[in-house]
Amino acid sequence: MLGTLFFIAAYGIYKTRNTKNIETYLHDNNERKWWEIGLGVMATQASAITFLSVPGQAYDDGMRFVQFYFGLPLAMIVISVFFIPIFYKLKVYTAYEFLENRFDAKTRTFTAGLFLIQRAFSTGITIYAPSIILSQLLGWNLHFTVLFIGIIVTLYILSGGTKAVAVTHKQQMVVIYAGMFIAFGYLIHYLNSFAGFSDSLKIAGTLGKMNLITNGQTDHGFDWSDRYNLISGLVGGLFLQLSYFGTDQSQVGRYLGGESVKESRLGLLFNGLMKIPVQFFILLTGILVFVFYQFNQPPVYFNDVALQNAKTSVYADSLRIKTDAYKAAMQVNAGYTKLLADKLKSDNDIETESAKQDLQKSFLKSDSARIEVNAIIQKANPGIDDDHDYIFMYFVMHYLPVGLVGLLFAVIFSASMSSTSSALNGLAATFAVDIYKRYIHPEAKGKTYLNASKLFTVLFGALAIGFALICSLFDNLIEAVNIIGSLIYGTILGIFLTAFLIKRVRGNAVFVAAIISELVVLYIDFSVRYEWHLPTIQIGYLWYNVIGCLLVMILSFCFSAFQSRRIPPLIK
Amino acid sequence: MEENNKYWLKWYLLVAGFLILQIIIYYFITHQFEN
Repeated sequence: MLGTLFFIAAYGIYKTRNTKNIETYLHDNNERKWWEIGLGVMATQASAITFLSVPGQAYDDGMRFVQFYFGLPLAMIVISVFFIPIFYKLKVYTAYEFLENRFDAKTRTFTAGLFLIQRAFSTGITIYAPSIILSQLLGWNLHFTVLFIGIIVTLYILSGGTKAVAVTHKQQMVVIYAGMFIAFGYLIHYLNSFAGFSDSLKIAGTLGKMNLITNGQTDHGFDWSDRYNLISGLVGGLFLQLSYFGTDQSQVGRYLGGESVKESRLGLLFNGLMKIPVQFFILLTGILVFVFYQFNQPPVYFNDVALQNAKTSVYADSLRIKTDAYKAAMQVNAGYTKLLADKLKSDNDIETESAKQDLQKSFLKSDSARIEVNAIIQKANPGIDDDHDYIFMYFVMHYLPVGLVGLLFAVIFSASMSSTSSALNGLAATFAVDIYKRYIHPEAKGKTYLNASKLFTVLFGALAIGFALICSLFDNLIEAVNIIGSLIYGTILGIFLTAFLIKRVRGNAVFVAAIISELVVLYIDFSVRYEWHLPTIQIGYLWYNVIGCLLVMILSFCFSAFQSRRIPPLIK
Repeated sequence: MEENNKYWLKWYLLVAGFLILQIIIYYFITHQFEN
């Protein structure tokens, strides 16, 4: 593990030792090929959280999370058509520079500010997620692990900026996918002694985990609070991914480093082709872990530290009773799972159907026993939530050979490095270009500008580490990151789409519209989350992106009726 | 210019077509394995 990581970091530093100017540090001299952009974009999005949380998501909620990514290929097309040509034409360093050309300085600063807040917080979670799990599995102190990961990544970017991020994404992707493929192979190998691949999927389907396409319909019509279904994935997902890839500097920085418009477009379209199959594969790995634990006794709780705490707490006695009940239920469950596997081999439809029903009944019992155990453990450990994010690493630790465990830890570290480094680079670039050079030191250039950008990388690294140190574990980390993004992305996207599509709107109109829209989105989420007892709407978070974006566009269009008739410079 | 547009249109259709194909495949997988 250490060998892999040091090779990646050392290679990044070696290849970027000549980074002496601001263009290379922030913008990478525009020399990346399409496949490097495609891999960079994918590595940036695939944080450590993806590999920890997505298999756990499948284990708990089935395959339907794949629908979250359905809007992504469409977003890649829209960005290729509208965003990339404009960014290239205006030769911008950050996406927000364009907003000053189109609107005014305050809209640019407001949007850059929204990005800085959202991304700094998300980066904190990106550092925190692997830290908490690695600290538990390796027995390291949590704060030490957060500092270790945070400092290594910050130093790594400092040594070479965007180029260090870009040149090592390829190596990191190789390590990441090699690790995942090997884990997948081992799962198939272990399951083979009980059931073949197809029968394993049938067992998962019997227990409701093969729900790849869901329509969100209930007896009362479409369920707007349902988080993942075909419609929310295509529409809400499109808006979320449009804002993430079109306006988030951690991604814009990746493809603006392309050699030409063509390379950038091909890189994004490559991502549009590859992303869903990749996520499908990671979710499928989670499903196989789930089936594996139907045959083999799973731990009572996948977060071992929390379990040990509960065992020594005042709840120890009730935990012991519930644990025994859960273990007994899982043993019965394993018996029914084996029976179904045998019946599936026999091709006897009637017996198979009856075995399916038996398994479903026994699974309901074992699942409710698991919920009871979880409730006690959570009572004994205030502030912690589910153990989803620990499931995959627990399997890796206990069932894979030691060398491979090391490789998969390297996967987690390198995924964390790639997404954190892109995010810190994006934060530093945005602060340097949109705040420092715009307001503090407009004459800055050459070495002063480069040094200031490096200083901002250190400051944002420290800020993200600070967030990571005070961050408490969310229900599910991948959802936490996406929810935080959705609170802000809709407004940012609305500002950009207004800029592209509604020519009559100018600075003041869009600025006021953006502030109102952001407040509305925050109200919708907070009023439900914190039970404000005020009128509220319960909707899945993917829809925040649609609401925020459309509100900015509609309101700014209305407000534009009150603006002066002076024509803005860009449209003249 | 028109040649260029045709080139990109082919790419966009490929990406969108692949998305539709995947949704169809996933729909059949759901029906094949679920319950």
